[in-house]
Amino acid sequence: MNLDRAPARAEAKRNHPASSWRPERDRFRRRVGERLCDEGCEWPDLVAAVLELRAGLRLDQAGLAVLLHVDAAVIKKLEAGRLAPGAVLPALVGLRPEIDWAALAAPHR
Amino acid sequence: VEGERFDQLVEVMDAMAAGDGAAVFVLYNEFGGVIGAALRRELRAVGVDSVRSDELGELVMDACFELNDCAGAWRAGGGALPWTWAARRLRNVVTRHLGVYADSLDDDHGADLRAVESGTPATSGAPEPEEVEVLRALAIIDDECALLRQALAVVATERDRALLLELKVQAGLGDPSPALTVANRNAMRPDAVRQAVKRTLDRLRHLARTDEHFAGLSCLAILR
Repeated sequence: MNLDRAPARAEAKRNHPASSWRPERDRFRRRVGERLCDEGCEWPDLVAAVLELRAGLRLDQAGLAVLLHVDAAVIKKLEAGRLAPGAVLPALVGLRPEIDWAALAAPHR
Repeated sequence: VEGERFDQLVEVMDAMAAGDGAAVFVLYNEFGGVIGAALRRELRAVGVDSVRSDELGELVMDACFELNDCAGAWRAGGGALPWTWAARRLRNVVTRHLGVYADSLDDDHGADLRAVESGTPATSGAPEPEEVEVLRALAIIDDECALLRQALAVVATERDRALLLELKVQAGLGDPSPALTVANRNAMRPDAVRQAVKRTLDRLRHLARTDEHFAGLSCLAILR
């Protein structure tokens, strides 16, 4: 009798519904933006995009601040929705030019 | 979720507990698949066997937000993964999404309803079968029985659980026509009993194949 169950386990993992799942990043970022908006954030789309950027880079606020050449307190305020994004927009554009940061930075009406 | 993945999960949960808004993105991107599998279990438990991928996608997002909101109360050393620990919250996510959900009435339930409406005692509502009670008692002291009972709760209605257990007990007792005996006892046709039992066994086997938590079911004699 073969007691090695590793191949069976590997096959079960391959067939598991979770293995075919793919994140819908844009949709999730919009959902986070909606939550931020409900919480009163003035720039929800921008903050959601910054949070997503930081998550993707696996950085804490201090690490992102270093990357953007700003003070960590700036990132903290930005993510809390307490900082007009104008000051950090050029740095964000420099880091990820493919993202339309200016459009994201439009205040919520 | 083992080893490094578990360490990453603990890190994410700790970050969410500390209020790091970026952590929920990591939870969603890295663990959305297993959270989706947990949600499918919850959906099956309330009788929904299939769900559109876009609906499941929304549910996964809702579940991530729920886990984010309760992350501070989860303990890594508690022995349960966050989505298992927060199963009741996930069930709430599912029920909020579904609204009021109900199976269509079959003949037995219809008879019960008519009896209630007419004020007469129900004739089809048999008392809870003994086999279900036996399994419930055994589940307290035996892990395999507990796993089987948990799996039955996920894949089968109360009636189908009882039918499977009754039929297996009759077969084990040497009854040459167990489906006929169970059918007579439950005022059903034998082929309806066989069909219900087959459906439950198929779902149990599928669960054993596709959900690591229930993999141990495949060793049980009841599934052979």
